[in-house]
Amino acid sequence: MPASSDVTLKADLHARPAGQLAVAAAGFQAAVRLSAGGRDADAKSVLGVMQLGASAGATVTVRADGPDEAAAVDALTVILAAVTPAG
Amino acid sequence: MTRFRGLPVSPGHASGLLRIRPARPSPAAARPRRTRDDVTAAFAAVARSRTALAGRLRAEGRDDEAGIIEIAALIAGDPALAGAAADAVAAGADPETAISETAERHARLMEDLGNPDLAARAADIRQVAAAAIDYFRTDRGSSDVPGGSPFILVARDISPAELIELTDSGAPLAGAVSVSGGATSHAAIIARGLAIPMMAGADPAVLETRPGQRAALDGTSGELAVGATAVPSPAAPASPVTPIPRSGPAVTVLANVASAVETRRALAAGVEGVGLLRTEIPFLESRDWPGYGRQRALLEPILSQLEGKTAVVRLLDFSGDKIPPFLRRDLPSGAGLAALLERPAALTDQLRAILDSAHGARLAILIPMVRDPAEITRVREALAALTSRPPPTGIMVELAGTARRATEFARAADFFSVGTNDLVADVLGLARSDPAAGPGRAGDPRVLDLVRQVAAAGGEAGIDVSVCGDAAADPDVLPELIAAGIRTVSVGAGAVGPVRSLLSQGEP
Repeated sequence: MPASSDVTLKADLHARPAGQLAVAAAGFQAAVRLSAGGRDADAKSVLGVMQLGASAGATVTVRADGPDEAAAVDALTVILAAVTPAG
Repeated sequence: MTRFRGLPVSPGHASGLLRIRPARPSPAAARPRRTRDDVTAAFAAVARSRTALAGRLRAEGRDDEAGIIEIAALIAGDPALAGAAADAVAAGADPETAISETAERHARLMEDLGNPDLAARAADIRQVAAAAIDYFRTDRGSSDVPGGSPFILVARDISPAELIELTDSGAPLAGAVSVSGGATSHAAIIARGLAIPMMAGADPAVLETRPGQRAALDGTSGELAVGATAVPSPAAPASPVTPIPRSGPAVTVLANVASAVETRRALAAGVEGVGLLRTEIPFLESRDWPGYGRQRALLEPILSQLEGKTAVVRLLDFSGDKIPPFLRRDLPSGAGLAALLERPAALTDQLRAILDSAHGARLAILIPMVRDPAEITRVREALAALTSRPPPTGIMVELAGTARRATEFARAADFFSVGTNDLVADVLGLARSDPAAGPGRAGDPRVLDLVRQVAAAGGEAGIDVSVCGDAAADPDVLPELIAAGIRTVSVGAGAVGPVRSLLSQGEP
């Protein structure tokens, strides 16, 4: 049963947190996907994450499927919850 | 001689041979390496070099630059780009075509998201692709420029990584010209910090120019003259400049900055603080008033370097040629301050961001384009609502009318900062962008007379008067400003060294 979690963004999902998400996701064996506003992306792809174009107030769903899925969802949820605006 | 115009995004003059990265890679230049694995290896090599560069930057404490390069490394390692291009090659496509088309598809997706930060990454994607394509070239275009000769890099997109890498590797990069981008692009910010003259938004025809020709770049006005053998350079006059004797009055040299890299360079050049922190530069393409968070992200990396030092932060100066899209429709040129004062939330956001980012810096707040003492009162009221110990609050004296009423303004402001760029244009009736309104024109007797009046009014009221326009770095005008009573100047980060030499400061 895959793990999942929803996070409401406090700021736009810009390049820096997208990079943090991709780096974090790459550290897990589980397949990790993010979805927002009808778009879906491989969390291990920084381009895919940026192309979600998720903005402040949007809800992002993290889903992971694999041996370390619960830890993967936790790690990405923390990053999503901490997104602050770009400079 | 052929001339190309563009946006002046990093001031200064450069001359050198043209190194051109063509608009479309020529298939003839490809090596006979065209398998799926070659494409994967090309992107892996780019990712490795970017990761290594980011690591070097982090080790030097250049975290902002490192952050930008790290994203490029991730893009280079992203299977959505490398994998898709490799698949296309496996299906029979030419590697260079496959790489550039895949990158272009991703770049357009980014540009269509409607988010300026993400749209700016389209250039990073194209640059990563260009670097990967380079891997397939026997000739990187450099053979057109003999080794060691100063060159001007011309390309559709120029990445910040490229500018830092070339500079760090000691390549004689004299200037840069890009077809994409504007003053707010990361590359432009880095170019200014590195004091590399740069023009963006150039006519794409520049990419069809024959490489290896001599050219002169004017990053101050935004012009590339191909075939020009010499460039008139007010920044580096042919005749030696006579230093102002050390026996003269003590003059404090501060820096004008808009980024952390410029601040770092200015401090390394011996500056005593920041006399003008331009806060609007990253927000010129903004779609709304920049909020608290975005402003802190700008201010933190700059102010954290200025503990115990002067840091004069200017409020958002959306005026003249610096009006972002959200104000363009109904804002008369020069009314940026009025727009800010009419939006108490925007003003409070900025003041709060400044106060919260201060660390140990000796903060001062500078109000641009002031035409009425009531404007100072408005800012003081907003500050008083936020803190019981508001920082000194001064004004830019850059309108002739304000300069003439200096005695009256001196009663309301804590300090004056004379903005010679706008003052020259206003006094002499020139457009600010008019090349005739160059820094040297501050030497006009009408301008100097006003500067003298402003300095005298400040002196009588006991408040500091500085000059933060480009004229302060002009070797002919600086002595005149000192003679007019100016004792503090603030100049571009790249001009700090030359100005200190001129003042016989620094090295004995």
